[in-house]
Amino acid sequence: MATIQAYESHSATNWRAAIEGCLLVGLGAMLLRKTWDGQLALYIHPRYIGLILVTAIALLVIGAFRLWLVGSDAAVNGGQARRGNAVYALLLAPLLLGVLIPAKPAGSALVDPAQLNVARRGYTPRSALADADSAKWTLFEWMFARYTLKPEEAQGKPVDVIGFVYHGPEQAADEFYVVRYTLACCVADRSGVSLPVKFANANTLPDDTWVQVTGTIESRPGNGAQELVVINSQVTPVAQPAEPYLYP
Amino acid sequence: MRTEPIIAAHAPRKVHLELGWLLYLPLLLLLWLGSGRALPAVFAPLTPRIQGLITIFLGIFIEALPFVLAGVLVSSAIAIFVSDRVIQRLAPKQAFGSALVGSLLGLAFPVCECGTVPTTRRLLHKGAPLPFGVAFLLAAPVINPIVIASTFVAFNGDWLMVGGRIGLTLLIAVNVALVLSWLPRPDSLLAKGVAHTEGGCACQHQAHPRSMIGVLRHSAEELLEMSRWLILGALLAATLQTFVPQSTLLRIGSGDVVSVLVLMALAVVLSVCSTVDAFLALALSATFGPGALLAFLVFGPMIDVKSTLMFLTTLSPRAVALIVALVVPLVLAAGISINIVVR
Repeated sequence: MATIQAYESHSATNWRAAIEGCLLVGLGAMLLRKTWDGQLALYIHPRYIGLILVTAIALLVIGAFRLWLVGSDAAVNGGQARRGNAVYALLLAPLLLGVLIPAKPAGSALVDPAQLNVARRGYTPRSALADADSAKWTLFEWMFARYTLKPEEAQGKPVDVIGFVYHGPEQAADEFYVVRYTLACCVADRSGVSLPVKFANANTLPDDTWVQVTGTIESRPGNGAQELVVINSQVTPVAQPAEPYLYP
Repeated sequence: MRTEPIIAAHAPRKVHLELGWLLYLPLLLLLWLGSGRALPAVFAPLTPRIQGLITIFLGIFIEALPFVLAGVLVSSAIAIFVSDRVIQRLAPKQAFGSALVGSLLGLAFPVCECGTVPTTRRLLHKGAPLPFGVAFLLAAPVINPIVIASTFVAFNGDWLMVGGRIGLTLLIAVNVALVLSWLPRPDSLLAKGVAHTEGGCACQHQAHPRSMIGVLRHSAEELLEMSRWLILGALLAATLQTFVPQSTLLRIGSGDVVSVLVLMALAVVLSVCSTVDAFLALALSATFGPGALLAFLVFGPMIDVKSTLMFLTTLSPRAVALIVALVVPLVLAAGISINIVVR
């Protein structure tokens, strides 16, 4: 009786230290990998990348210490908090979901049409409309232009933007939205900015195709503020940008 | 025979273990739907949504991880290098004073909500009074230099928003901490293993070496404890964000009362850091009154899916439920009054 108990607690504890060490090392390795291949930009603002790198290294070190305990059950038998399968399922989640599922930036499936182009009063963008050449404006600056320019000022301005294709639920067949998300911190606080594009073959473009749209602006009455539409548009498919979001 | 109690202690765990396997089912489902492989046509449209859900989940998790880790390292350093007596001397004995000091500690000790939880856990375990810990837990995510500065910048120095956020947070944190301190048996409000014991740490490890190695070993234990709740919270927040569009919430209403409730619900769903929520509130300021915006800014850092679940590492489920039950009506009342008074 006594021997069985001793054996059980010994093997169970070591097993746990091994799993937990691997989980921590795995998580650190995943973050390193995502930093290396640039995937971190799909999840967070690039200014945090250094911080994530430090975190990844810390996880590797802490995990290595955990693994080191596998051999020395004296230090472990003091008793970690008991963790059951439920806990390991949770701890495995970021690792499995992060490694096995193809990493995608927030795309058309997350667009909330009523929340596109929500005005951010007082939120001064880097170069909001400072550049007189409107062909250099991103979708973020165009969102601003919608609220700050008079219709006659906006009319006819040249446009050259990159974003992904999104077909709104009540949109005309010859129109689509070119959309980009802005981030303040991580993808949980994203906010969509967009321009509607008049394009005869709009329905041949699947959602989430990354495109470069050039054309000119036409102002039309919209919900609350004017709506700026791209007309005379040329739509070229492009590769997904390395930084898929905008950082105002 | 010394083995008897061990058997007794193991028996209930067996049941727990078997139920735990059930949690792999939603994980496998997420993997299957997210991969889009061998998926019946009916479910195919779900794949991009699930991939979006996973992106949001990893976004929250990866963003929070460095801050949780920093909190864990601070906590482990306190556990190993700071004696219980120092902590106990730091906090006033009397409940009100201790709650007030606790609520202001974030000014000297800037940790965001993810770092607050492990730090609170350690302070309580080192024998800090309950009102001190609870007030710190609720107030520190707002009452710290970084968050005050970002609120000031976002609202362009609007005293109503900046002062209102600080004042309401202090008021609510201190009051909730006081109410909890009046309850009998304060130890029963702490999570298992957090109650103060002479020597030894929450995880009942043998004494760790008083060195950086000790800190690192201790951190692994604590990080694993925190992560599970962080992960569960991030998964819930990501699921809500994916399937409940913001506009559905915002469309519910903009009356003096409903608007406050709506923005409180939004704060819970979004689970964003207190350092950036002021910028989100700004985006809502065209549609919502100051009472609702303040409710968003005060409620979010105290109660959201991600951090409230992490409270369970520190406080008992009863205490966490009680905190939620106290904070909700207090913020609601404050928000409604401000909406009515400030036009």
